[in-house]
Amino acid sequence: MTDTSDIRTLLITDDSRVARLMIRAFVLAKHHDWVIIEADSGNAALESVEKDHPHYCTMDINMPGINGTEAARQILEKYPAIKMVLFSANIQESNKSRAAQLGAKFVAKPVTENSVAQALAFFEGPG
Amino acid sequence: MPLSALSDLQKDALTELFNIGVSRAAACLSEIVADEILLSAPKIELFHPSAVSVDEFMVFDGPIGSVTQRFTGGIETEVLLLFPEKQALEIIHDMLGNTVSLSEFTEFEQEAMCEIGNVILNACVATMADLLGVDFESSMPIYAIENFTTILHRAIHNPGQPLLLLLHINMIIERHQSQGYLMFLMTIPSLNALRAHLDRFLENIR
Repeated sequence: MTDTSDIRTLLITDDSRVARLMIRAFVLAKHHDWVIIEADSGNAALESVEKDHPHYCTMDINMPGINGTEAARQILEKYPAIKMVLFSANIQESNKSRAAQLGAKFVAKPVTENSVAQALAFFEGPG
Repeated sequence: MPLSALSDLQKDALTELFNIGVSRAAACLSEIVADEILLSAPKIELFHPSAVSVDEFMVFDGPIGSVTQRFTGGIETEVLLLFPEKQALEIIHDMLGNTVSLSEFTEFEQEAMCEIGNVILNACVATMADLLGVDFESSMPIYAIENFTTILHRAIHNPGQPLLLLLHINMIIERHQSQGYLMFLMTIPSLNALRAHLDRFLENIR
């Protein structure tokens, strides 16, 4: 029987339904018992964090409305225990630096088994 | 505007930066389709729109899937990624695999191509921007199925486009023998800024 305290909740934030779908599929292939929540914008992610209290979050950067970096900053300011991965195609050094400053990990798209494994290693790693 | 709008050294630097950026983009496409990507030599050409012959640039017949994204900031450019529509569908199939059922496939075509375009175009522009030491922001990608003539006419007849800088390259996915085409369009103000960035880049490596 699964101890419910071991069940992890992941919030996937991306305006692309395809990206969300692929991240979800690769994560569930490794952790079939994780609870996956989706948000299609930075604002929706801020609301979801208040309601669903996820352990982990993947965050796209380039989205309509509030961008992912700012959404991540606001979430981590209030909930520093959430492990955050900025999962973006925008691989500029400045975005990688901002992720590091926030205490988040930057993972470059495309969404593949490998890139999702990098995010999972961060979620399950120390700290 | 003559081709001398960029000096030989500036053109050489831009070609090299474009080459590095496209190589990074090709690496991303290779991850998506799990196949080797062959690249042609990149080309840089500068035109008066009135001097552009559509026939000269007719790289594809028939409907093509185009993803367009606008980049602003240190680099100001509109970038297009073009694939023949049939081959675009094959790429989407490679990317999604069994993640969606066949019946759902059509529903995801547009979003999947936007995501592919977003990854490839950002990889290319971000690599170039980092080498030039500038930041940029990107618009949401737009996907359309059009023919090449329509796309080129729109670029040529845009009143804000008194000069066209075309950076273009072919990307061939070996297994499918699919051909993709990456095209950058720049206007004069953005060219002036680019020239200054290139000069600074060249000074730093001398």
